[in-house]
Amino acid sequence: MLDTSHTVEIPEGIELSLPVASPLERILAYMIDAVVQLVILIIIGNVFSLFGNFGAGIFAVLYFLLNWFYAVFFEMFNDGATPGKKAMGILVVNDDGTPVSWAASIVRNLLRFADAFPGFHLFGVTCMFLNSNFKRLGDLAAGTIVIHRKKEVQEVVIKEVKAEAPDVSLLSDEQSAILHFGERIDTLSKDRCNELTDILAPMLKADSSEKRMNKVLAIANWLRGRR
Amino acid sequence: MKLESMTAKVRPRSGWEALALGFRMAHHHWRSLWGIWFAVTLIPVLLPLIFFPEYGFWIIVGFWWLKPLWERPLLHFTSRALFGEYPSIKDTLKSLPGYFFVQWFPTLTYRRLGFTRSMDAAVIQLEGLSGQRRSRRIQTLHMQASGAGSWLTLLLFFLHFVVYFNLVLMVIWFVPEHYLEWLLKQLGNKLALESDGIFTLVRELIWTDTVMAVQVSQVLIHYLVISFISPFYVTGGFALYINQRTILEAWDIELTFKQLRQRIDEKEKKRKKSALIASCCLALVLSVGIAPGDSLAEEPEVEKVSIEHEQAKQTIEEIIESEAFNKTVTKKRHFFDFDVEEDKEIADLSGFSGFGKSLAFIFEILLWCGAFGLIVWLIVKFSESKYLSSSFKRGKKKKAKPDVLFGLEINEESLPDSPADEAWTLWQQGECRAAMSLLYRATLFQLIESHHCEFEDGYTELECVRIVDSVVDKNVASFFSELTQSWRVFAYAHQPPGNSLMQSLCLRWNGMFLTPEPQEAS
Repeated sequence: MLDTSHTVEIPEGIELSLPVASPLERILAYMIDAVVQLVILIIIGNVFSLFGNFGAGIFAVLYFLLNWFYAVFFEMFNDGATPGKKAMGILVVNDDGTPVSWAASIVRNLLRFADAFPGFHLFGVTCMFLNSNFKRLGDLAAGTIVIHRKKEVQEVVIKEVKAEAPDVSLLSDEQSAILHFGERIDTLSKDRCNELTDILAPMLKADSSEKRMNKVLAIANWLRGRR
Repeated sequence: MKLESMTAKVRPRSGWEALALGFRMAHHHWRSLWGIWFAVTLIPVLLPLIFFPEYGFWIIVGFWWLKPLWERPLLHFTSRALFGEYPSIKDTLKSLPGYFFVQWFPTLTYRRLGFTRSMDAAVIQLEGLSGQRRSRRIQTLHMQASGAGSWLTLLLFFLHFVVYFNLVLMVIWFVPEHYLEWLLKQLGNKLALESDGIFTLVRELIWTDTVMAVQVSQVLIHYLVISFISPFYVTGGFALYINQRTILEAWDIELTFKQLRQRIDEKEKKRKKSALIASCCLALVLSVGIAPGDSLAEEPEVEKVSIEHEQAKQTIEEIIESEAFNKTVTKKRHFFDFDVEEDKEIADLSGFSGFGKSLAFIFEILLWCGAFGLIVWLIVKFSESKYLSSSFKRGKKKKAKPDVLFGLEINEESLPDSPADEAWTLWQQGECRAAMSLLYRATLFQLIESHHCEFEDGYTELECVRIVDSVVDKNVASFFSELTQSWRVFAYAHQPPGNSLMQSLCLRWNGMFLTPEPQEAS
């Protein structure tokens, strides 16, 4: 079954699925970071040009740090995301889902050099497109993965009707499908809603499509805890 | 369309996540996708290139312009693969006439440069819609998350040139130097000949047409780059389309509802079946009038289990002896010596001047101060450190003596003047525990005080014995170990030592530890 997540089993035996970020987002994030770096470079360049050769020396040191540790700094102190990654809603974590470690972050960012070969990131881009978890060489070496930041789930209103318990005990998948139905009922056409609830006809024990839909809504309300 | 046979996890995703799904589809079916691609496109590119190599630029532009058509077989395959049907390359090519030229005119003219082409292709090719219905359908599909579709087109177009320039760079690296010089010279001649130098230079960077070999290799590189990117473009766009439909038509809900329905139906069937069996049994019992014997029913089952056991054992042995468990792998590793010559450059400091120079001077002084400060701090820190002081001043100062060992108080105040006599008296009075503990405590105290045994708070009795063995003479050590043994037996096993043993211990204590005391007193 094809899916867009990377599954990690934690010691407690629970499986976490991390939504893997696509190469295109990462390229966009990289572009944003490049612009941010350029702006920083222009600013410090202008400031230190006031100090003559000594300023040039300091500028060279800062340029080195910016070039090599910009990403490490933000990954360590900004929840695994450089400004570009933050803007794209993605972040770096270790393969096992834990926050990215110092060693891993340094390795993956030092290897940007290898990814940039032979000049415009051919190796990194090719590797990213061909790897199943969209890792570039740095990620492969450091054992890190770039994933989507989980968005805060906002409560979606389910139309309130009198709650009713389902006649059949439901598995967790089925419960969440019924809840989803309640939440998304407004985005679906009426015919489509009827089509969906008709599938469940033997469970609902109602004679018309209208009643069936209401029954499913009532179950959704019941599952939401409005008993 | 059967949702049950879908080979990808159905759930509403964000646009970017849908793209990731599309790219994974491309990974999953890479053989077929690239196989179909090359089967369809190799001839249309190579034939004109062989016959008209001087028109290389127009060949590749033409090929690129016709890309929507080349992508159709890929979409055809991907859409079928998603629903578990994997047409072979041959089948895909056979069905090519059915969809290859559908709405070819608008596709290749006014819709060619649309940003969401990858998503919209499915509406034309798979849904077969045209005219107003098509545009209305596309409008519906674009309501959410069509941004990702535009980004897909834009970024992959950008990537085309990134990868192209990389490959050109690599080719240039591998071109022999004198030939490269010759090429540059040709270019220079051309630039000198033509009046608008800059325009020519820019044009030459994008497309060099001075030498035939360069032209042909440029066409091939562009073709390879398009070949690399196109399947990702198709699957990405198709995944976006599928995602939009999943959101709009609640495919995920339909799928789960169908599974639930199946579960209910099966349950119902089972219930009916068991009811039927029950009624049959009842009828059987009533008609025969005898209940079926339990033992008869059970016997064959036991046999079956034992056979299975035998079989299982055999299977296990077979598996263990099989190849997978007896594989030997020899791995070789190569280590490289890197002889790196180090170039040392001496920094030129003469250029410092004015404000910068003075600032640099201040910084230098600060640095030196910092360095000295660090050294001083380190010296102070180390001279204070526990480990060093203990090794420097061993013998001068004793370690802090413990006041309490395994819950027993050990200091001078808690002990009488002649503890052995006192202990013996207590023993005779029947207070065995008090006597024993007093004797033991007194011994420990003497060992710490006059034999400088270094006990620490957390030591156990036997650890103390080991230390005593290594520090004091044999006589005292044997006494202490004997005492410890009786103490442990008494304290933990509640077996008091015999009268004679206790008496001898007390006497020996007096002989060993009491003698120096009068000397100290005098």
